[in-house]
Amino acid sequence: MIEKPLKKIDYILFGIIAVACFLTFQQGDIMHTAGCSYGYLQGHFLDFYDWDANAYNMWPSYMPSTYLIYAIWNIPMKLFGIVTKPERYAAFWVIMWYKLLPVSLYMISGFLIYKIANVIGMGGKKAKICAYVFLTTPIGFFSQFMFGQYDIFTIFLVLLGIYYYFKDNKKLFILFFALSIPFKYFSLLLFIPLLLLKEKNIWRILESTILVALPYLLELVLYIGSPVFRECVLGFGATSYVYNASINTGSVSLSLVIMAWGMICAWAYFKNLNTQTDFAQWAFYLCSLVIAVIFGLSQWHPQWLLFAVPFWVLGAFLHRDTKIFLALDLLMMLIYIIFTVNTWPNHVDQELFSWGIFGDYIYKDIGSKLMMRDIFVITDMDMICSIFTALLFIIAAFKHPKYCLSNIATSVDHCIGWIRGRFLGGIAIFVIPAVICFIVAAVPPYVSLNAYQDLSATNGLINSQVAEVFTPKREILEQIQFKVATYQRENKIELEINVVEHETNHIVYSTTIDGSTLKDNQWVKINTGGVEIDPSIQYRIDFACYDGSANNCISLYRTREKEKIEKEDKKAKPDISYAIVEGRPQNYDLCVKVFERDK
Amino acid sequence: MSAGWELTLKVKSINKKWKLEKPMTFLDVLLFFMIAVICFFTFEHSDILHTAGSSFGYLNGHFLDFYEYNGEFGLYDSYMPITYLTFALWNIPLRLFGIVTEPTQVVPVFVVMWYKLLPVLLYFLSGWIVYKIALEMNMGRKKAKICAYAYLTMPIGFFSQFIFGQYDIFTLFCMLLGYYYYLKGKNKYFILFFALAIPYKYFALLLFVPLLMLKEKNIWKILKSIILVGIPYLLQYLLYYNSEVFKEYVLGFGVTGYAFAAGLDTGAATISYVIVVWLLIAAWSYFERPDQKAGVIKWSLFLVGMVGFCIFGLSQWHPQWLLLIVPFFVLSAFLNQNTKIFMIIDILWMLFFVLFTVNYWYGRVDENLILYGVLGEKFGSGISYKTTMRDILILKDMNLINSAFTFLLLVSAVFKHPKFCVKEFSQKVDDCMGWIRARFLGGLAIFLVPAFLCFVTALTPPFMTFKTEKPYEHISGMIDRKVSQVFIPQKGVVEKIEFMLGTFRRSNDVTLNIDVVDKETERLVYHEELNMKEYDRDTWITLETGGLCLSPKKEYRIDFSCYDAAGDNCITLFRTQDRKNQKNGYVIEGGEILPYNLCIRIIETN
Repeated sequence: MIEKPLKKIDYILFGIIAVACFLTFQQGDIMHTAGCSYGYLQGHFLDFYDWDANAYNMWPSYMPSTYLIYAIWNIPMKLFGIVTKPERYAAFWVIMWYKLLPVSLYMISGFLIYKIANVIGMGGKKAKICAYVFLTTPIGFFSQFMFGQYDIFTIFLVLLGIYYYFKDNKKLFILFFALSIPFKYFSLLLFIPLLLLKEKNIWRILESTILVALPYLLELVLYIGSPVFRECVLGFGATSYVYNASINTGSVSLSLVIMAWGMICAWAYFKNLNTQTDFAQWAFYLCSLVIAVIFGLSQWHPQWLLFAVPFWVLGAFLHRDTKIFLALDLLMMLIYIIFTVNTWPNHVDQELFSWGIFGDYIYKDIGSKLMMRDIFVITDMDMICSIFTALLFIIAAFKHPKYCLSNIATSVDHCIGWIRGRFLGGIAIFVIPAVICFIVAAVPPYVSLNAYQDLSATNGLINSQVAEVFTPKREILEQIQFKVATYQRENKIELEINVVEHETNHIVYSTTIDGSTLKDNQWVKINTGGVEIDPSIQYRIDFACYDGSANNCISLYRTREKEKIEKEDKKAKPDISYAIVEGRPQNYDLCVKVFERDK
Repeated sequence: MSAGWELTLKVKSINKKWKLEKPMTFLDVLLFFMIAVICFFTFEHSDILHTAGSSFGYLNGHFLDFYEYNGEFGLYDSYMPITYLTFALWNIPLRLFGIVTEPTQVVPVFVVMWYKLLPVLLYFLSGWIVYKIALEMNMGRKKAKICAYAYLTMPIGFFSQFIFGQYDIFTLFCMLLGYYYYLKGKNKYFILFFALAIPYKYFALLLFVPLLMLKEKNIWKILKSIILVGIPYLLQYLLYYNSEVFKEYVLGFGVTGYAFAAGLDTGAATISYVIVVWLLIAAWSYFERPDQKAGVIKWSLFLVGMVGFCIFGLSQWHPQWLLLIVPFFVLSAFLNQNTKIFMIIDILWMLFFVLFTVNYWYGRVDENLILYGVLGEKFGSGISYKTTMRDILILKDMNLINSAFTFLLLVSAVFKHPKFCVKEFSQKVDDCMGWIRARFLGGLAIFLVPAFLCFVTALTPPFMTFKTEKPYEHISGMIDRKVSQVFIPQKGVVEKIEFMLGTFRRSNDVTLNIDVVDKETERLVYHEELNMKEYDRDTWITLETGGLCLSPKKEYRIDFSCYDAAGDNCITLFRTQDRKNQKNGYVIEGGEILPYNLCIRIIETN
């Protein structure tokens, strides 16, 4: 039953956009995780981790629950012989099958939100709007329909747990939280404060905590003998993120996340409440604080934020000013996308097209001719992350029960404009730049080398040369771009640029540039007019200057050391380019872009 | 009638004429003006020479190419155009009478005083606006007057205006007008004056947003107001965006990065405390709904105080910036149940402020402020040669000093929470007058007494008669090369020559020849050879000349030469930035006069 202010068109619009994004965008992780699950379907239960790693070079890093769920979901694949063994990569329709499972759970989670909203007293109409707002939250929608991950497994179970929490069914509350923990440990961080808010008896608290951990412990005991499990699951680096932000006391570093979370738990314990309304307001307030602490004070991955969405939405619907939180969601999405496309360049940005339905048009490689981060311009991650953290804390702190409605069922009909604007505007923040990148990538020439992020200038080119080695991907070299430093002066020098075969030093293209025409920090463009090159060999671009002095010279910009780049983005494609400075190969690139096209 | 009785009557009549009410007396006003005039003429910082000097670019008709044109004179401007435009208007008489005709930093002292007069006048006008604001807050005339006086005599503000002599008052003046109309409920003027304030210093935006959101809860109206307030800034930005100098020096002005220095490393990025706290304050102002005007007054001052703490307590600041929060801290102190304690805290605040300033800006914002005042000529190039303020004030632990400063800011902000405020804003503060006076005199004494001691000791020989600006860069390797610095002795007997040596972080086995030559006759008057092997770090070298007698006011040349060096075994010297109109000295190399100095100090006796 559709009730005003929601209209049929709202659901249709959601459905159309969801289907379009479902088919168009996808990140590659799901192929690894769902692909690993075939180990179970091959009958390798207790040696699952070792079997996948040793036989198929696939190293699972989650607890068994995730792979078991996928194994059950993938039974048809196995039965029909579409996929029969663990495989790292999958065909488009197989990926969509994998994606369908979390997406279905996402939709059911919307229903659970409706149920929870009803239980805490919002009334049917408001509860429906609340569920719609959950489903259309830009960050959650992005996480599920574009990034396409499976954090929803945890959320689905957590929502079931919360539903029974408000139904006062403690056993099922514990059960569903217990099932959720092996999927992602976050749920434990919510379970404890929720438990402490209701339960004040120490023995019962201990009992519940032990019970909630049983499934995790069971899985741990079953697989602790596996070296791959110990290395990849127990040694999964992301769990240490909570220790980054800390206070150094001299002897140790005190984790702010742990301390703040501990304080929230204590607050929950010392808070004595009576009414269902109080419980609802305090529960969502404390959960929002926990979310602010774990995502605001430590590093996060884009898909994890889905975990926060139900609490943000339900909390906002208990607030006397729901509208402002809907507006803040838009701002959050903007900051979130800027952070994501900058932190995971060529990975979680326009690259999500690669595994979608249009991936074949760009040969599963959208390249980096135009990146989403170029469109967003802002690259200062400290500023972006600061704003995001502040927003997380604002969204949490100002949901304190004193700012909440006394009557939870108070209508939010007047917010419908913002609900629609938030959905369409929020999604546009990602989709529009992504589509622009796709169009640019779909027309030649294509970028084969894009060392764009400058760190500093190299030493002045005074009677010396620097070079950049690269391997072409196509047959025609169209354009070279490089970034120069002129020290804000007019330099009367001549810059010689030669493109040579790296091994033979055979020159394939040569030109000179008058140094006085160069501007400081300029990306200089050289159109080669289409030079034939061989993608199977390495080439070198030599930048040489045979005159100049300390006060009359230019230099080229360079990137950061590569280890650092790779550390930040382990999934970056292998880079085969490097700079040569003072005759020695360096572990960085010159800031050079190479544009090529097919013959 | 006794003389004492006559004096009392006279003071009473002046009090009446000036409409002064007890506990304030004519003497308070007289004392303030006397000290203000003395400080006005005695101290000044050199920044105003650059800023006001740059404004002549506009008066020479260079409007759109203003930044480039000034660059031709070695003046690279880092503020938005409005500051230079304001000074350009003020400087029209100087240009008309031909006293200053082009962008320059080299001007006579009376011109410096003319420059300084503009911000000082605005400072006084700001006192009047504080009075009007206090009236608007229903403090009553008497309390409002005391409040304005407490603002004018607040040591940090007074220092910023009369001693440091900067122009942050442009921003503050506009902000105070904006705040006045904010309280009067005239939203348009509130936005207008804040819009004008922002291009002077961006700080105004950080106050505007929480103030706006405290009153306005409609999201579209908030967005509209924020867009409107940004228009003057955007207009100036668009006009000059194509200028390379503007992009580099104004948009790339490093101090805006201070907000990111204090942060929490989460692994992915460093979260700026300033940004997070400021956004939380802004959000707080949105969610707070004061129902009456009194509530708006209390909350607005509290939130502005918190912003002040956030900006100056959690990031680096420059001494003159603190003026921007002074009136708000004073006004909120006058609404607090315990005004007196904040007057006392102001003295402590001044103490740590001065300690920080003279230590952090050693050689610039300390006794050196005398150099650009009317007595500056007496000291030639140096006043700090024998005694410095930081030596007199002893305490040098900057972590301790800054922690205390931040703590005091936090206390001054947090305990102004509305729950600590008086119910009746007109509640008397007469009992605070003693502390207001002590705060003024005691607070200023913290700076003035050590500065005066430095002044006295600097009047006795030997004197630093020649001192070039701070090192800018080295002049590249001294390999078979001679570089000369020309200087003019002031006293006649050179005791020491100091120069800054660069070693490229290695020990260089070379000999540096230093010759002092009469520039006119080429007569060698002093020769020294120094082996450089013992130096492996850049350092100042002191050459004891043993009382070298030279003719004052005549040009001499110090020739630095080195003929036994190679690419990986050579030293260098440091130079200053390029400056046109070098009056007192310059560098010669290969017969060519260059527009900079070597980094050199010359110490002479009579």
